[in-house]
Amino acid sequence: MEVDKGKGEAEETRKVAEADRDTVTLKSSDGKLFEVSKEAAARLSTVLAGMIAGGSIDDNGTDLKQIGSEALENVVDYCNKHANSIPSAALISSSISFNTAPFKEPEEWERKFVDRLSHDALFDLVEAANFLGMERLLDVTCHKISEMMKGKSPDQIREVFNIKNDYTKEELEEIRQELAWAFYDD
Amino acid sequence: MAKRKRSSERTHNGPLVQEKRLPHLQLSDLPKDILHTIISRLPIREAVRTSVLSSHWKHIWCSRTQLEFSFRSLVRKKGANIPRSTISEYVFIQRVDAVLKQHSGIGVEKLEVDFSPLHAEHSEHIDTWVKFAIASKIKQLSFDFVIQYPSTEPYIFPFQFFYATSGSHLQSIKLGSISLKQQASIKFLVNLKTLELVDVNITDDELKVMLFNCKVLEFFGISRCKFITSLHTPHPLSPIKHLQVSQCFLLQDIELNVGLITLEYEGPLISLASPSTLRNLCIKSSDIRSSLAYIFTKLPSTLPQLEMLTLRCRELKRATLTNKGFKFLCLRHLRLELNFVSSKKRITDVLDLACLLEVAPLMESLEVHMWMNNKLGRYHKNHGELRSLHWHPHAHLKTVDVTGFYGQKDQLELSLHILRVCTMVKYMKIDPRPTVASITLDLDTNDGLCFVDGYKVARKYLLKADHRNVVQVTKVRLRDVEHVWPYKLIDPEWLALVADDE
Repeated sequence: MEVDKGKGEAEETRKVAEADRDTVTLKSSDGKLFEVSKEAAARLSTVLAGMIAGGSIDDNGTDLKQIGSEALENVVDYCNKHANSIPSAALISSSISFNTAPFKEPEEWERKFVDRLSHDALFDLVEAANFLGMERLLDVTCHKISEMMKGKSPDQIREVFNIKNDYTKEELEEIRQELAWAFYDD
Repeated sequence: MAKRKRSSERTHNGPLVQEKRLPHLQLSDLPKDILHTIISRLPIREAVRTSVLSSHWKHIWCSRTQLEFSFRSLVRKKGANIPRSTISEYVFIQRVDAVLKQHSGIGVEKLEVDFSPLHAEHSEHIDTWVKFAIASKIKQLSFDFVIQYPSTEPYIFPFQFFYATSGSHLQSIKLGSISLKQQASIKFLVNLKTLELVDVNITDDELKVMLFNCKVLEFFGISRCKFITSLHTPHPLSPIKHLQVSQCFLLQDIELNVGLITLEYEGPLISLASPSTLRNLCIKSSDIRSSLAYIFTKLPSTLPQLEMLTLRCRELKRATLTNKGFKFLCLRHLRLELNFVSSKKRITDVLDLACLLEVAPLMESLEVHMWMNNKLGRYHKNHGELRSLHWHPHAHLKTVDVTGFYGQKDQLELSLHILRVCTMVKYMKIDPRPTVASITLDLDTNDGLCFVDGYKVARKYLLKADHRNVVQVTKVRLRDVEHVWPYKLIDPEWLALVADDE
């Protein structure tokens, strides 16, 4: 689905895109071109929706200077997958339920989508989603990160996420005292 | 794709065409509001503990957007089974106070306190929580208490704290076992879209005043309010779109506004003067003894716009169906939760449900969740030949979800019928396990064996008849169920429900 080709081929893609106009072409910071379903892009990203509505989409590839090709490929992949997925029956029936949960659980394919990403790719994707105003993708990626933190001790979290402890022993003890109840079953 | 991979391999093997690469992004480098979102998804204790990760993280948790305090999240210790009753309210209150004291108050969207034993004696603290909510401009407030002893007075919700500017941020309130005084002041909550009252001593007239003063209310939920006898939405053009009523046992009539789209009702069946705009209807009632009869006789003529219908009831009576030619021309989604378990010999027939295909010719999705008697065996040739109904094609049904399929004869007949006449079905899911919680029924070890029976029958008959490859059967084998408590085999959410009741 993604276009990741030399310039000549991209030119061809542009013509095709012009012909049926249901896709838009995006350009990563390192100059790679990707094609994404226009409908899905507009639905999933407030920023892209704004650009499409405002006519600032460039047929030669809309520049997204802040997003690297790896992250953009994931964004595009996500949009295209979203365009093809039919909402599951469970999702439809849950729409009638009254409790407006703050976060919608990711769907099975979304889970798989983020599960295969490395840490680096995941963080890059979070940034890209944030930049593009993709609420749903942000939800799914943040959900994944929180899952990775859940049930881990502070030490384990530091290790997994490469966080350097810059507290002195005394400072640490002070915080623990202050919030003792939360550290109970450590 | 292939190319990209190659180029990244290159970076591993040495910088061939290497661009200046920034040191890679770490979790701590993400924008703070994203870290807040992540932290908000952790249980509150774990979120608080992230304060020791590093100085960067010290206050991240303080911007948690959701503050949800409950026995489970604040007090319960893993492993140590502290029963709820022995925990002093003050321990709970202290911890809520501690979190709120640390919290910046910025960006909080929701404050939820779900701890039963709180009441009037704790007003001093609860009042400060309400003040915190007002000061932090939160959007959702939920206080869910339960009156445990008749002698305790419920907490009185301080409507007097709200006035024009302080009330405008709140969009959603839920109050459980709380007393309402000066409820007309709700008018200061000018943006209140959601209101939920649980076990609140409110009279018909007081409720009327309240609803009248909520000018932009879209959702109203009321349950276990024992003084309510009639419910009238304030004026015909009220913006309420979604009404949820449950277990108000003295309620005798409900009169609804015209714009209402969704109605959920649970309790003894009363006349629901439903506006014709209603698109979604969900009824849970133990009064309906046959959902089929109800669907055929009561609904189609009055609710022509219905798109989605959910019924939970006991299917104990076999109905003689006389459809007077009414059809649901808008109905797209039908969900039935039917309990076929009666103490006497079963006289109902699951195959009767087939006629729904004719009443809802444009239906796209059908869910049938059943609870069957686990004493009746699965289909066997001795039970007689399988019946088949006349072929009346249905060209719109796309997804079918059947649960509680124990492989009994009529269940099999219905499934085969759907498979045969619904030519456009893309996906038919058969799960032998009941996957929707039934509060009134218990499962026992026999049910586990029925899951296996259901799987066997589905495999033997349904998969054989599935020429379009659309049927998916959940596999349950004998070794999965032997010596296993059947609740272990079902949806964990249901399990949680059972556990909560204990």
